[in-house]
Amino acid sequence: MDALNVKNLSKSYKSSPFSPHKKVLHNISFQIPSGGMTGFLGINGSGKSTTIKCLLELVYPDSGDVLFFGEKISAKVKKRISYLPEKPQLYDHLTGEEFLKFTLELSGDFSSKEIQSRTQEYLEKVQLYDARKSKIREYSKGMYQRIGLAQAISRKADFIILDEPMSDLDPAGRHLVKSILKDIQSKGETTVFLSSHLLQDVEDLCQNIVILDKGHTRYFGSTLDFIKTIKPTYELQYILNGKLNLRNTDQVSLQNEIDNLRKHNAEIIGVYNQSNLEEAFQKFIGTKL
Amino acid sequence: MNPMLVIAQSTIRELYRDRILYVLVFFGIVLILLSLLLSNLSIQENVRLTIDFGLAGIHLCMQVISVFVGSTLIFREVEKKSILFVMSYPLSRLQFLMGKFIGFSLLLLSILTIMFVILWFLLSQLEWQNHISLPIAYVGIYLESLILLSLTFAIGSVAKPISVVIVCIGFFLSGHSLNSFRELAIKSKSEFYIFLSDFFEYVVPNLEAMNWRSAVVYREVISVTGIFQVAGYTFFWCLFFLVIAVSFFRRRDFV
Repeated sequence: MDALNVKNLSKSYKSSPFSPHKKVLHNISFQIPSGGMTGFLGINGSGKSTTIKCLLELVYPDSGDVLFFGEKISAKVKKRISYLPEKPQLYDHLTGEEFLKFTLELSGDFSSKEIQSRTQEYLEKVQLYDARKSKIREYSKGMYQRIGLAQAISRKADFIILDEPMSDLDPAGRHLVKSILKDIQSKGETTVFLSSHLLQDVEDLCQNIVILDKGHTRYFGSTLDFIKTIKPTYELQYILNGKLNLRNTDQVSLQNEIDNLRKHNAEIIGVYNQSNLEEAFQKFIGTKL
Repeated sequence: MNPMLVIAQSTIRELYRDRILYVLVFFGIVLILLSLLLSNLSIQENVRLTIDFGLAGIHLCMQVISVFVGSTLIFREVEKKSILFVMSYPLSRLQFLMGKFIGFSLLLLSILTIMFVILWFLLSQLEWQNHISLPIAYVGIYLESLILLSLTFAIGSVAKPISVVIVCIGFFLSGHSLNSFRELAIKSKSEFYIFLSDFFEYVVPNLEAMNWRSAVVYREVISVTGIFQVAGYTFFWCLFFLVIAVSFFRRRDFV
């Protein structure tokens, strides 16, 4: 059974009572398999955050169905889902420790003893244990993002939705979050739906991707298959006249380039496939624009 | 713990750390202390003046807190978008609103209690003879606060705080003028005015019904039946406003 099944989801907004409806989502459909991590990609304004809000009924879709583990959203299903919104606004009058305890109490899954131990465990996991007594409003952007992540992963959720979890993080913070996500992934029990603009991270973490463009689903499936859809580019590294040189070429010209370099007695160091998600995404979206 | 109670607890903690609330409570305490100074204006009626001004100060302060703090309670969550992560938890919108309402109601009760204890202490210094009607005035002020608080929820679930405050002030003033308007309508013998007065009694809660402050001053006894009737009346209006609040809030998109 799919962890998430979205069928013909549509949503339109009115910016004011007298303005016309602006359609944000156009009958989008996709499925997310159980376990593993799925990236949710799209340029700004493509409808990613609206889709996520529709999934959780934070906004009501005009039409369409959303099924988590084969069931429509309800309090019972929500117990299996956790969510980190984009640029989260948390209860910043609380300390980090109070906040995590509050969210664990709200999830309704834990005894007070478990809440205590989980709070400590997840504060340590996101490296905020030393800042546990500080108010969240005193946290830096990165700390804020990490406490938000802690509330999303500390619950016993089968499905975690993360909307730009690494957007305000420095390289060390990104590395930490990635390692936490890899840890979740290695256990294989939880499905993660990760919306991000950081395509390198998505490529590193996600086996599947969903691409949204102007409110339409453009692609959903394997990340590797998606990357293969574009013509690969190769980077040639060679030494000529004692100097290291780099040259990019496509598959058709690659052999000619190598032959040509050999004629000039160049020493070829390596040929590297340059195809990646970022390049594939840009080409894909470029063709659709 | 029930998620509604978790929200109620969190609301108490949120407001307890809110500086605006402290300013308003301080303002209330100053009004009570001011009543002590005013009592010096009269030698014979000093206790009466203290009761009168003290209760008026508590009443005003409680209604200001209900309206001004209540008007931002839902708005803040939606505007700051903290509602997004809260509503992703297994919690219905009804539970969220009710949790907020219960939390704030309990906080109002504790603030009112503190103010009454201060007033009671001042009165005891003036050799005031204790009377049963003082706790009744306390109940009356609290019931009125609950009506205004539920009204802030009804309006605040769709409107901005400034609109909420304006509507609540309108209801407060008209709610305290209903009896006078009715008397005027009867005296005028105009059917239109009588119809208008009947109409307002249906659409505006009569806030004078729970005004038992003069009973304290004049040492009148309010019947238990009367208290229960007013409590029932308050319950009806609170329920009515909260049903409106929930029905609006349930349909809302949190963009």
